[in-house]
Amino acid sequence: MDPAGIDMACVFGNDNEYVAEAAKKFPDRYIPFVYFDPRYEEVAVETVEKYATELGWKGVKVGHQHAVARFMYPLMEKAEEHGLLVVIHSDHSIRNHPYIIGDIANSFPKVKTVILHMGGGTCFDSELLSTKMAEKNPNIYLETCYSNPYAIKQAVETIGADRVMFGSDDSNGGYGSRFEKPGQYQDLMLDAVRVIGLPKDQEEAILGGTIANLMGIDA
Amino acid sequence: MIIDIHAHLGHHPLQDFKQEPEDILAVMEKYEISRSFILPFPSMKIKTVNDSVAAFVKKHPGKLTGFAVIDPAADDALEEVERIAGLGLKGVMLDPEFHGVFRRQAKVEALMVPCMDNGLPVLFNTLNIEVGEGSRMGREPYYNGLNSLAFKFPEVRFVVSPFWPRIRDLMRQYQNIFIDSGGRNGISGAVRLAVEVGPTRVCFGSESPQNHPALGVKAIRTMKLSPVYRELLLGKNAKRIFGDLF
Repeated sequence: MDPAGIDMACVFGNDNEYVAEAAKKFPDRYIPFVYFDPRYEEVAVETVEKYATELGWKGVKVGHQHAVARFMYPLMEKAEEHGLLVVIHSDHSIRNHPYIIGDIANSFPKVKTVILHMGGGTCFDSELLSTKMAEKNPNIYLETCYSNPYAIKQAVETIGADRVMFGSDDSNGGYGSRFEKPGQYQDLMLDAVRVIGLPKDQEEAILGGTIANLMGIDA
Repeated sequence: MIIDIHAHLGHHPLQDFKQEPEDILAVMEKYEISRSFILPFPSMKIKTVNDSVAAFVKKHPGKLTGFAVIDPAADDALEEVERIAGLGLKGVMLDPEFHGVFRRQAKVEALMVPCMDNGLPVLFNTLNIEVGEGSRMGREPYYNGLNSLAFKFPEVRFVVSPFWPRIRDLMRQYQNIFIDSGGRNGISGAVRLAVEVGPTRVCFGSESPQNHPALGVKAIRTMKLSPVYRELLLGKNAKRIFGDLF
């Protein structure tokens, strides 16, 4: 984060306790999200409630292949009850397609829902459909990692920069490890927003303002 | 030296993508791209889009190399290859999804003869085989199709995405298969191929306007890769492999 000039990051992983420790250690840098793992069925929803009520966490991450899970609707009900931001992995597959997420968000219009990666970045159709879903559902927000500047620009023009947010999707041993130096991967992801040449206020919204507003943070 | 072997001109009939001549030239100047290969988007208006590319590259021969799109199913496909060669276009683009190329293998193979005669490389316009046509047909027709073409037409240069099915096997088997990185998201695949199969047949292609050339260039410059390999990918390979087209 430091080499790339990133001040804060929303963090999540399948070990919620590990995330809790990191957030406790660096409260000014990390915003913890609880990881929703529907393989544990009702326990997965109870876990979300536990972190929301006991630790005051404000967001939930839904990972690969889980957007169609049987417990997604109970999760969304819980998110509505506690005012949680729900961020959902997306790609071009049927289990994570923006259409699927659009349908879920449409059923819970009070739950602010983020389509992570705007459809995945390897399929332009799913990127553009992410914007379509957001256009039709005001509670949908888009996150930019892997997305292309063309699709990000179109999203901003369609739904506004205040519903678009930057993300890197980096992790230990993840994409960042393929680069020569720390921060270069994040820098590349940041460039996907910077090369568009948006007005300053719009760029700032994507690079931090949008998520800060959603999480109640002074940017 | 940076050479971009994959930049589209015009608009996509099905998707909301477009790129005008001045857009391409401006990006080339800003990011110091010395040459770009200009491809039409796939289209059913074959002659119109090929003429547009020919007119554009004719104005900037020192910077641009033009490709034509061919629909293998069209009655005049063979004649169109000869026509575009006469217009000064230097390569052929086939779009497996848009034109259902690998459902017409015999016609595609017939097309290779005028491509070989005119020294035209054949670039397959695909980014991710797992979506689109590849998802409907499965990946085998893509593997089998290229396997057959590369074997039967060793003098034709074939250019494909790093996501092509079993591309490592195909590249090891045929020296006439080359890689077009396909923008930032294809770079990691291209870099892996450069390391695992060899650095001499992998070239930078931006796939603009969907992808932005600046991101692909930056990815090649910052990913873990020998500095001498970086230069090969960014432009030296393209100059060596396709220099006869310039």
